[in-house]
Amino acid sequence: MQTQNGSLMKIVFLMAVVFFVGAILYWAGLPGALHIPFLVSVGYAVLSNYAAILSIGIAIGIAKENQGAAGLAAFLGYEVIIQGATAISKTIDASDKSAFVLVAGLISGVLAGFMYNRFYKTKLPTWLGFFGGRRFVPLVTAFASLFIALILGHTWH
Amino acid sequence: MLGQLQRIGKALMLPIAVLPVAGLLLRLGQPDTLNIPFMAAAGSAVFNFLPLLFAIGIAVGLAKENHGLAGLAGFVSFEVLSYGSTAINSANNLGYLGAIVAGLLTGWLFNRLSQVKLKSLEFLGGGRGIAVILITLLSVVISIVFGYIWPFVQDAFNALGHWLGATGAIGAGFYGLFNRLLIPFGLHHVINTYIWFVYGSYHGVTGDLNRFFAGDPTAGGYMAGFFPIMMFGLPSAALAMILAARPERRKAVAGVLGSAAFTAFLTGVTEPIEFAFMFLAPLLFLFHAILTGISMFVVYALGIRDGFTFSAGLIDYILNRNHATHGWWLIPIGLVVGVIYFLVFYFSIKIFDIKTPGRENEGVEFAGMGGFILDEYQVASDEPVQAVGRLATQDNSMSQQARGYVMALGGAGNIAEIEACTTRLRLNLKDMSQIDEAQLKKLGASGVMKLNQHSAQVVVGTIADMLVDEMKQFM
Repeated sequence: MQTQNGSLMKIVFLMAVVFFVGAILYWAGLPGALHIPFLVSVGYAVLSNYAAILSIGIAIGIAKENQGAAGLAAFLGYEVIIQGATAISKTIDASDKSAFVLVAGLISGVLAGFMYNRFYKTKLPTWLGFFGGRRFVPLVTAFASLFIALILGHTWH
Repeated sequence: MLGQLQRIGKALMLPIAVLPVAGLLLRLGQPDTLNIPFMAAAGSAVFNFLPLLFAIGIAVGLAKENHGLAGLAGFVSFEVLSYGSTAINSANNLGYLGAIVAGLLTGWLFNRLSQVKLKSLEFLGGGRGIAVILITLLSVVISIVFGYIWPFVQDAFNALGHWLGATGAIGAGFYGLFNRLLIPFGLHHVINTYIWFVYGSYHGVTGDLNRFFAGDPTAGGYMAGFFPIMMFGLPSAALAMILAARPERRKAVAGVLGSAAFTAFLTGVTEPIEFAFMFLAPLLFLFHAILTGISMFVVYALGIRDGFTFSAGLIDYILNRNHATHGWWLIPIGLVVGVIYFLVFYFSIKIFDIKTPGRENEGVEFAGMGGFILDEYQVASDEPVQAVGRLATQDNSMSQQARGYVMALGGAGNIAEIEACTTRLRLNLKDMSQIDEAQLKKLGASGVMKLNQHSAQVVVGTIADMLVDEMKQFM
């Protein structure tokens, strides 16, 4: 899984630091500390998106040479899973702090990473040539995520 | 300056490449097509989150080696900028414009900050990791600036939008003209991005393309006029070039240009045809740009509205037929445009003896369709060129080809830096004189550009990414 001698681990550490920075900003802005609402907002910008950040980070950690196309695909998959599943089942709680967004983030991250390594060299017929190679990765990840949305939409409680 | 703008144009390609996913999911999911609501929901989600995909994609596109951490930083940066600037002024809405700025800023900062070397922070991924953290912190500061200046930026762009709206069909016509004139430089994406994603507003959705898919009946005026040109005009131009080729070359040319015409008709990817005559006959290209402008003007003035998520080809035409206003009018207009293109191209080529493919002087090797290709977007044309011009290299595996490239560039020792850029190798060489251009052309390269003493670019076609991966095995 770690093709780049532990680059996934490094990215996980890095994300932890980013979350930590977000937490400090958030905490510093609270009424009990410096009481600056602006800092609460920017801290919240990082913390409320933790699942999406995890998704992107995991994907590029798994992807060969940490290529960015995997990160883009991961975020795409993350949104497809959440919006698709919640359209199927209205009872799914997909708010910032729900377990569902964490699961969606983890699945889409791993999925996009593996999809990258599997499909980044895909050659398509000439008339579809534009969508070959790395650009093919977000496409297949989105469609695979649609199936995951279908499954989660019907099974998640 | 031009180089910088071209890098931005290129960086816009990755997020633009995910648009068709959104279009397919949305349109296939909607009631008038397959009626799968959760698919439509997923598709519209992609539209809603496009600004974030722009922030990620542009940052990645600008970053050295397209490193993914730039994308992560782009995402965090855009979120921080939008939350921060909204906290300062709740009327601020960064949208696409903010996402593009965040993406550009992140990509630029990432390349500079990732040079930092701190041994003690190696566990975070070295300089790149430090860059992500610094970009996060800098975004906090920049969001304060954004908070105060964004109202003025919004006003300026709203004024631009109102002005453009007031020009109506004339504005659409000039947009069409400049859109094509910028193709040789790959800068058309810069104005497209404004028109398609920023211009106008409908229930909080901005941009002609987004509004079209959100159901705004007035949207689509800046896309509809492309359908006659791309589905009929340029394929007819290709037909004219095929018929104007010398009889003994006609079959080979038909193979290349025929598939390019089919591609244009079906998907709306037109660069392979445009590059076939752009540099050989600039006047014909000017004619093409003017006719695109006229088509945009006429279609807009007639009240025809249609849209696409990829380009103005048959696939998008069929997919979006129920969203279009008077969409079927585009077909008869297209037929007229097709006849005009055919006549103008055929007779100009014959009368002025333009050396379009298949009309080269005897004894001159078929040198490829465009010669020197400036656009990164130039997609499918390289492959057919190889198919016709370099049959010899067809059997070679990618690995052997890669070895050949390394040798022709002066060996592994001569290559200081190599990067793939969609259709080119961007190189930093120790000794420029060791490049063997003839050998490179034999291997399938369609152009070599020496930019200065050390940097060069070799146009190799859509295989660039994969080729570089293989070349690194020999270095």
